[in-house]
Amino acid sequence: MIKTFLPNYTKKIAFALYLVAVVFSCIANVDSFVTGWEAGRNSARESLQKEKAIEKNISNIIPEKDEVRYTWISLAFSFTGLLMYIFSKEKVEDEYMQLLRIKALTWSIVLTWLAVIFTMTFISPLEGLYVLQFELVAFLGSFACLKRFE
Amino acid sequence: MQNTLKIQRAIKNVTQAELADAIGVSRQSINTIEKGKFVPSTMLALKFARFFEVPVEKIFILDEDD
Repeated sequence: MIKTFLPNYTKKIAFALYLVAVVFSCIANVDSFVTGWEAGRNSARESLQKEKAIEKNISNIIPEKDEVRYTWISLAFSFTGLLMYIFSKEKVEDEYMQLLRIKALTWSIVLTWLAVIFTMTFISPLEGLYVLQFELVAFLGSFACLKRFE
Repeated sequence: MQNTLKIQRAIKNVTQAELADAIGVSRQSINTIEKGKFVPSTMLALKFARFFEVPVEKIFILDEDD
């Protein structure tokens, strides 16, 4: 049985925390976004040197040390919000909801492993914290789908 | 396992939501139990029996191969 410790209204607080995480993440990655946008706009015909030159020429909107700080702040809010949401009770917490939670947990583990294998094979090794974050999101997504369709 | 939950509800003239509120479970639980997708615990089965004022065996019936 998966214990839920928090009352139902904490879900709203958790969602707000996650939104704050998204905002900080966007702020932390503004430079990457602009760099990618400019490099992409020049398309595949441009040489690798030109792409690197574009990176150097774009002045940092957000200083690098602030980027790291905002990323960590974003992750902290994200984990807090996600865990708070997961451990919040449903409006009516009964044994059927417990069964759905266990099924969702199983699905989240499977999905996380598939995502890790896929990204390690075709993209790049995932950073550990993002894997954990993905697993929490996968659990919430699976739980929502099971509540809706099962 | 089969159940006569829907029949008992009809006899007592209660909706799934009313039954769920009375027992203390979600309406979704009642729906999945009636469809046979979820087998309730002993405690929940006894709560149903007490609510409908019938023996548990009249609500939940074991199949031949159970």
